[in-house]
Amino acid sequence: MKQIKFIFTGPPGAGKTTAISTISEFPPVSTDVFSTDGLSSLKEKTTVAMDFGQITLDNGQKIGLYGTPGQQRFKFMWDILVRGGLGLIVLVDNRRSDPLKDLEIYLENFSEFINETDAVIGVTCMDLKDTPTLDDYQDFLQKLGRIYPVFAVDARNKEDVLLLLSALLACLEIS
Amino acid sequence: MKLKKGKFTKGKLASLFGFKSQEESIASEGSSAPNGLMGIELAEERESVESDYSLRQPAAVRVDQEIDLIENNKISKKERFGSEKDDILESEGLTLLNAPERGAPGLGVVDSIDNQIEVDIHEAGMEYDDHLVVDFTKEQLAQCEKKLAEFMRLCTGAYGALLSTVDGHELVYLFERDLPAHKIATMNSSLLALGETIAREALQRLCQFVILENSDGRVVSLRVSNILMLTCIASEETNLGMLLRLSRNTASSLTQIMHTEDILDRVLRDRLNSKRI
Repeated sequence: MKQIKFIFTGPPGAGKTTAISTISEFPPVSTDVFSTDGLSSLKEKTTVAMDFGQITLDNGQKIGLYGTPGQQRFKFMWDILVRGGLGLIVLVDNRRSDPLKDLEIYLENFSEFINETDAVIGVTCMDLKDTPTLDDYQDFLQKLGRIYPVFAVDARNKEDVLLLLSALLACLEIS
Repeated sequence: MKLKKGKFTKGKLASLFGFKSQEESIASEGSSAPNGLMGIELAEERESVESDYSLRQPAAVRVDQEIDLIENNKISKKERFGSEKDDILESEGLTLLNAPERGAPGLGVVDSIDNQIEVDIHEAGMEYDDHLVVDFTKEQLAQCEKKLAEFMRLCTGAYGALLSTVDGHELVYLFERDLPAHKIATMNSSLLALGETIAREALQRLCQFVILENSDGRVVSLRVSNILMLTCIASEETNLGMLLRLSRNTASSLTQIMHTEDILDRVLRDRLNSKRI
C-alpha cells in the first residue's frame, strides 16, 4: 500500500515539529539546530531541513508526516518536500502580530501544490491570544477566494492534530 | 520572493553578515563575512520523541577595510534592501556606495559598538527579528578571514570557503567564482543537518563531513562548533584526502578563534533571563 504524504508547514514556532512528534508512531526524524537569530528568543532550536514522522491507520494505510522549516530562506526545502505530497497542513501561531498575513504567505507559497491537492488550517495558541478568531480566518480565506477547514488546535494534543489529518483526508475524499 | 542579480565589491559589509544575497555575484576572489477522527486510529503508540542533539564539535567570520572603518567610527549602520537602488552605508561622515542589485525585501541593520558587531536582518512577513544574536569581535573576524584565505592557498583547486551558522546565515566567505553565498549557506545547513540525522539513524555518531562528490568537483561541509559550520568547495583536481584534512584543520582553527561555547552560553543565559523578566 502506497504511503500517503502530508506536509506540515507554517511560520517558525507554530508547532510543526511538535505536532508531528505528538502523533508520530516513532520518534520523529528531526533536523533541529540552534537558532542564531532573533528566533532564539522564542525557541532554542529550529528545523533547517525537515521533520519526518509516520502514523498508520487501522486499515494499514501509512501516512508520512513531513514538516518543513518555517523560515522563507528555506523555501528550497518547501519545494522539495511537497513532491509527491497529497495534502498540506498549515499551522499558524495566533500570538504573532499578523497571523492572517502569515497564513496568506504560506498559502501563496504553496498555492501550486494546494491547487493540485488540498489544505487544512490549524491555528495554535488561541488559548493565549484569542484574536483573530476562527471566523476572522474564514472571512479572510473567503476574501482570498479559498475555502479550507480551520481549527483551533494544540500541537501537543494528539486528538487535535489527528483532527487536522481527518479533515484533510475528508477534503481529499470529497475533492 | 525573487532575488535579482547584483554585484558585490570585495569585502562588502552587508554580504559579510548574511543578508539576502542569493544571486549576488562576488567578483573574483570576492569575500564576505558577514478526535472524532473519522476512522483514524493509531496502529501503535508513539515512543519517546526526544532526540539527542548533543553533537559538540569544533569554530568562525571575515573582516576587511569596511569593518575597520565602521569600528573605528563606532557607528551604527543601516543598509536598506528591497530596492534596486544602490546600497548605501551611512555613518558619521562615512558613506559607502555599493551597487548590488538585490530584490530581497526587508531592512538590514549592522550595529557596531566598540569591538562587538551585531547584525540585524529583517525578512518580509516574518515577525521575529532575523538578526544574528551571536556576535564576534573584530579580531576574531580578522583571524577567521586569514584562516579561510590560508585554506584557499593550501588546498589546490579550492575555489570557495564559507563560514556560516548552522541555521543558514552566512558569516564569512571567500569565493574565487561567482557563487550565491546565501543559498549555499542555507542549503548546506539543511544538508549538514540531514547528514547528521542520517548518521544518527544509522546508529553512527559524530558526523564529521558531508561530502558532495560531483563531476566537476566536491563540496565538503562540516561543523565548526554547535552553532557554526564550514563549507569548502573545490574543483575536481583537488585530492579528496587533502580537502578533508585541510577542511578539518581549518575548522579546528576557527573553533579556537571563535569560542562559540561562550557565545552560546551567553545567548542561552540571555534567553533565560528574558523569560524570567
